[in-house]
Amino acid sequence: MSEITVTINGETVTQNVEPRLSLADFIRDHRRLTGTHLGCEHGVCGACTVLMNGEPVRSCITFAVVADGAEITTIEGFDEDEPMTQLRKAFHENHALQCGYCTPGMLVAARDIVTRLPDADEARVRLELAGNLCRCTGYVGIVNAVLQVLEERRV
Amino acid sequence: MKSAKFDYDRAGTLDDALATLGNADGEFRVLGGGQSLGPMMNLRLAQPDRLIDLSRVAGLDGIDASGATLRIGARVTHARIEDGEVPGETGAYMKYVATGISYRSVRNRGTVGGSLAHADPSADWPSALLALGGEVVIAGRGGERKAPLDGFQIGPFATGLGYDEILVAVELPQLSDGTKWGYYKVNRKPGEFADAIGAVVLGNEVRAVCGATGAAPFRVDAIEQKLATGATELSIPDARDMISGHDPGFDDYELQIHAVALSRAVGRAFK
Amino acid sequence: MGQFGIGQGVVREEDPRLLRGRGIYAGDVSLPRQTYAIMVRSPHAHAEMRAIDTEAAKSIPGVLAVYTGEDVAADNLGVPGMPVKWTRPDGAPMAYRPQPPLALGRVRYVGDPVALVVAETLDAARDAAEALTVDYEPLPSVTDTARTVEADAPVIWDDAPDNISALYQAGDPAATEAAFAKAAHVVKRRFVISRVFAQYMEARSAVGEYDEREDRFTLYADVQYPHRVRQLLAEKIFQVPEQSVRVVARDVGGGFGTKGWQYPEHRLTLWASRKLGRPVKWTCERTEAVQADEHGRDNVTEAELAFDENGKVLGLRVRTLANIGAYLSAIRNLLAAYTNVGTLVGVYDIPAAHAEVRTVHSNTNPTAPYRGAGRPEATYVIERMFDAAARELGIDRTELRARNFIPPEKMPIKTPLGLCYDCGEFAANQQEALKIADYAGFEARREEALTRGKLRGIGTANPIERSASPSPDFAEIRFTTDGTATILMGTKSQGQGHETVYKQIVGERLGLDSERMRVIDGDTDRVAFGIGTMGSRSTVIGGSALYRAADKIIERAKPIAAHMLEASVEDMEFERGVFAVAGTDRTVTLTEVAKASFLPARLPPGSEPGLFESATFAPEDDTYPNGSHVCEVEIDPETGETDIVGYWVVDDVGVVVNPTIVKGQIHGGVAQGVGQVLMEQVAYDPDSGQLLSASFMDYCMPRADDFSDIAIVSNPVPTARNPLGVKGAGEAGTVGALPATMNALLDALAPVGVDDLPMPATPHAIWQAIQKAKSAKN
Repeated sequence: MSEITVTINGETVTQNVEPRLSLADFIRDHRRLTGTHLGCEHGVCGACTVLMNGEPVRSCITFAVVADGAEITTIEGFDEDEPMTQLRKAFHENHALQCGYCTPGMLVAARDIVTRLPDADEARVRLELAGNLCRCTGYVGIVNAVLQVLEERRV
Repeated sequence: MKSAKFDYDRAGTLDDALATLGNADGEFRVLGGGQSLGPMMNLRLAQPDRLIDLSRVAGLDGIDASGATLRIGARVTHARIEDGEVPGETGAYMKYVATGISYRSVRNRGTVGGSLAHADPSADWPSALLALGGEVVIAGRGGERKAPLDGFQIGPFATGLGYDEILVAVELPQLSDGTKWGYYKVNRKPGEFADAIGAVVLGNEVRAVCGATGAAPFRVDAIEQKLATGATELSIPDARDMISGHDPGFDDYELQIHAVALSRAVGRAFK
Repeated sequence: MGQFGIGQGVVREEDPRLLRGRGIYAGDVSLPRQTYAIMVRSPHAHAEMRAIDTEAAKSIPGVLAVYTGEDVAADNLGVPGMPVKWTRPDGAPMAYRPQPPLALGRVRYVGDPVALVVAETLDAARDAAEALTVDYEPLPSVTDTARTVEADAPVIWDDAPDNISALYQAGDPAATEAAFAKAAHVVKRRFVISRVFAQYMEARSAVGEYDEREDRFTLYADVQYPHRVRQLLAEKIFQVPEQSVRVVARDVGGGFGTKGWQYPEHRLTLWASRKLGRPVKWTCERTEAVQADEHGRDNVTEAELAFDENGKVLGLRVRTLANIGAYLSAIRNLLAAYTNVGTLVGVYDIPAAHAEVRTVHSNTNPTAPYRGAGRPEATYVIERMFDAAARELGIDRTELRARNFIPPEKMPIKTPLGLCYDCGEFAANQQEALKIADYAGFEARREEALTRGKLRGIGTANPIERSASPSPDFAEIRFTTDGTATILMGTKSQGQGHETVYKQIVGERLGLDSERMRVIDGDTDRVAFGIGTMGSRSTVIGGSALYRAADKIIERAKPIAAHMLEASVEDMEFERGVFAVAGTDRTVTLTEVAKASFLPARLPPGSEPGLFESATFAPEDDTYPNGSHVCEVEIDPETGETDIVGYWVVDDVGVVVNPTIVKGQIHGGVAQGVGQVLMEQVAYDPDSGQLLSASFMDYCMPRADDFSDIAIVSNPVPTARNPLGVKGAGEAGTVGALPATMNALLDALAPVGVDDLPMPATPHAIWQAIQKAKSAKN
């Protein structure tokens, strides 16, 4: 067991964890924040994407011990966040989710796009979103939602 | 899809990490960003007994362009390179390569040193940096040594790194502005591991690398000679012939896409 | 139209919770004192189990139990049963071959469950599963569909050495024979449709709890059919009254037909919970999912299409081998193979047809419905046949189709394979699709692409699906004393937006605002009855039941309203939530009536307080959603890589309740169809039967950059087969996308001499096809 101290959505917790515990399982099973979803657990689908020290990472292939000292933001921690508020509205308006399982990771990835790549065009948005799998939407609504927020943030 | 049990060390210093590695009684692995090792451990394709985390070790994440060569610390992430932290023409080339590695959430964690040491045959940096030329800087209990990138990777997931050594940096030539380079990947999906890589850099020396070969990337001397003598394009049939000369064990399609990758890398260099 | 009524693309009710990570999926359920289960699965395609050694596994700290097939068999759990009996080609009855929840003696595919480990923690369960040793004697295996019926093929079931399960036939063989005899031209082709997997983003979970105090099972699971799962578990498996089982499904992370009703883990977690006295939680992992779940498609078809000298179709003959996998546990395993054969004739006026489907066993997972469930397979055959025929006859593909469309005035029409199409404008659909895709301007685009070294192609397909087949579903509207309504549904959303659509239907009929309604599904204790969500039926059948329940509410509320307004019932009118006395300005809202209904003093004498109504609806016949798809692609001949550069759909799903949601269904359906054609595949090693595509590294999923925009235009022709006029939209996209995409690829490659491609048409496969065509030319 290793002791880690992690700040999740502003709350700092110190806990002993097995080294093999993934950050995703720490978030879901130990902190009961079940909005972070596990889609593949081998770093392909992006459903588990969270912010670690402000940057998106895949929590399924990041061990919790490695997150010692880090600030983690999960989907439950964005309620005061401006780009996320814009994205949620745009996802809602553009029918960018159906079953909702990929949505938390998709939103964290989308937030990275609209904040890091303000000039992204559709092709770039599609490329940047390619790290997050959605099985329901054919990506049409998701791409449109991200483009809408990029546009809103430019004016 | 959970890792097997392992022990974990968060090394405070490089010496601590080297000492732990030196006394290894089992499979000890150095943990960089963990973006290749993590999936392999979750799939239980890798089951190390102990991980040595270098994230608290100082001095591994610098980018130093002050000398004749460019020194990039092993823990520099793909994302930092993508964001342009490496200066000059070498930086432009590396930025281009970094942008195509996996996805941003992986690039935020994955590191240059980790990629070189892990030596996945389909990964970008082993091929891309071989095309630059340069050396890896390796720390051992007896001090530092340098090894040329030529010959550093010896096969799939195999390098010249000793079990008790740690790759701490890579030293690369500073390309002069306007140096021609081209990099082209064939992959089933952007962001996934490459099926074929072509990398050409026409710096002080001309280097043309055939990568994602299933084994170590290799330089194609016939293509280098052709480019060194003024050629500005490379046809696919010529590329096929020249790659075949290295007897890479490709089937017909593999030969084709590697030839396409090199042909298009040359095309990009002279575009 | 109400403010929140039918036809409006209102935003979804489900979104706010899902956008904030507040959904509750099956894997999010955790119960006090819960234990964790791991399924141990066969690593062999076919093997005899000589011995299972559980000792090492049981000795791992925290392990509570290691169960094998014999433990389950000792408790005499029942089997799902097979209500319908078909026969084999030799006339013998089809054998029922249910899959034991844990294998007994022999394993028959990679992933066949062998043991169940239950432990205090998931890590302990997993470590124990790895410590379990099984002594296997491997046997020869067969996974390839065509290979199953070869004389020397390995045999799955000793009493069926030909590996054939049964024969299904439709149509008239003699009439078809006669039609072919007078044909001027006959086109023959063979098609192989690959095996794929639904790959819902949420892999399945099951949390089983046995409550000793109530002597009752509760299953929390992501299923499409909560009541059907309850019925199966109660009546067949545990042989207890249905009230002794509760099934709960909350948010479901995709289903696509494959989150079925007979998975072994459902009964095993409940059974183990009863044995251990604690809840048992099983969560499938991604690489386990391809081994654990039902697969989709997988057939080989030989088709013949007979034409007269004018390009009019005279007859269709189809022979299919459909791979149903190792077992035949329930009718579910035959649905995709048999029940949608009828749409092989497509939207075309074909006088005679005959189809034979032989279902075969192999060392693979059972197959079952996956988005389309036989419909994409049927449409693929007829739409590829039209392209092939057009090339052979030298007639434009769309013109040849136009010569053969069933005209609207000929409907309703009984087709030669036994279905009765009621309505649709097939020619108009194609015309509109070709217009929005600028089909006429395509050759110029092909030329332009060639200057960039790209091979550009365009493909079309005119899908039709048999949807919402006659089986009932249920809706209930319950008002509470504050006048708000709870809507309880027997269907189960897996992301389709049912909460929104059902509120729109009630909003339309009763004039209630969204915030005065709540939709509940997925709980057998709360909803009285249901069949579930599959076959594009929920809006059609559940929605119609709900519409009827709303009518009953009006009828029941009317006398109360009349009493409140001191008018006669005959003078009452109802519109947009308001009762009015005809010809006056005296009104009372439904909400006020609902409140009053609970107050006996305000009711007409002798009437019963409260306002609750339920309805079931079972259509008398199927609906036939249809449309026209156009796909445009560019192929890089040097690498074989394909880009989808345009995709257009004209759809007729009948009355559209929510156009935004319908478009979303079609977008997603198209993506799954394109995915199957270009990249997805459940692949097996032909020699060892090993599964080669268990992870997302090997099973290639469509990504955002694989697509262009998908443009959709609606051409709704309402059906009279249900009160809403809706036809069903869940599967339409996939049905058209399979043939449209493949036809586009083959159109692109026709100039270089390629006339067929395997599925999936990977870059490797396309490049090889080009090389083969080149060397054939030389």
